[in-house]
Amino acid sequence: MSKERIKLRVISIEVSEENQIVPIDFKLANDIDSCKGIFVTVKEYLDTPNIHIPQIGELSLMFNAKTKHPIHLTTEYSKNPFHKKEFLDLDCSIEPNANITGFYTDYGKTKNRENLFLPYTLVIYMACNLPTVI
Amino acid sequence: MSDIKYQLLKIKIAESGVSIKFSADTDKKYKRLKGIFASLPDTGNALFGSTLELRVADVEVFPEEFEIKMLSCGQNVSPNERFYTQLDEEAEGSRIEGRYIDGGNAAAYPYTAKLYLLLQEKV
Repeated sequence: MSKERIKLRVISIEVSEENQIVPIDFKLANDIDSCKGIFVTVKEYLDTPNIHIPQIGELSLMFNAKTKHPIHLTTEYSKNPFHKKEFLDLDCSIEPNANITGFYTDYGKTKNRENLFLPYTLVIYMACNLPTVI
Repeated sequence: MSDIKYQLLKIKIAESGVSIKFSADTDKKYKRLKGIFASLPDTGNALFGSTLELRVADVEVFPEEFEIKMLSCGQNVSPNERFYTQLDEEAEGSRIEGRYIDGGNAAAYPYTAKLYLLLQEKV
C-alpha cells in the first residue's frame, strides 16, 4: 500500500544585472514522481518606489528532457508579504533522472528612486509528490 | 468530530542575521499536525530573507532556504485561512527540530517569532 506526501524543493536564482537571462538546469530527487504545484517569490526586501511591481521577469521551465513545457509565466514583486501563499496548481509527472531546464529573464523593473537596478534572488518552490510505502 | 488545538512555539531572535536552532514536542494528545502559521511582530520587513528549516519526527517538512513569509499572511486573510496546510505529519509527541535564520531586515531587535501549530484528531 502506498501513501503520497509532499516534498518541497527550493531553487534559488540570483539576478545581479538588469535584463539578465539566467539559464536553469537542475535535477529532482529520483523518488519524486510528479510536481503538484509551484510558487515563485522574491527573497529580498527591495527599496523600490512602488509597493507592487506586477511584472519583474519571465520564467520558463521544461520537464522530462524538454518534452513538457508546463511553466511560462511572468513573476511579480510585492513589498507587502501579507497575502496568502497558495501554490499554482501543476499536476505534471516527472520521469526518473529527468532534468528540469529553462530560463529566467529579468525585465529591468526592480529599480530604486535613483533609477539604479536592485539585484534580487528569485526563489522557486516546487511542491513535489513523493510516493511512500506504508 | 476532529478536535483542534493550536500549539504555540516561540523563537527569540536576539540580533540581526542570527541562526537559531530550536526543538519542541507536539502535544501528545493530538495525532496529526495539519498546518503551520508564522507571526512576526513588526510590519513585514522581518519576513524578507528570513528562513525556517523544519523537521517533524525526523522527516523534512521545510528544506533549507524555505522563507518564513511562506507561512505568514495578514489581516486581509481570515484567521481560519492563514495556515499553511500543505502538510499532514504525525504528531502525538513528535519531536520538532528547526532552524530559524533571520534575514536582517527587522525594524528592531530582539524580537520573538511565533509559530502556531494546527493539531487535529484528539487521541
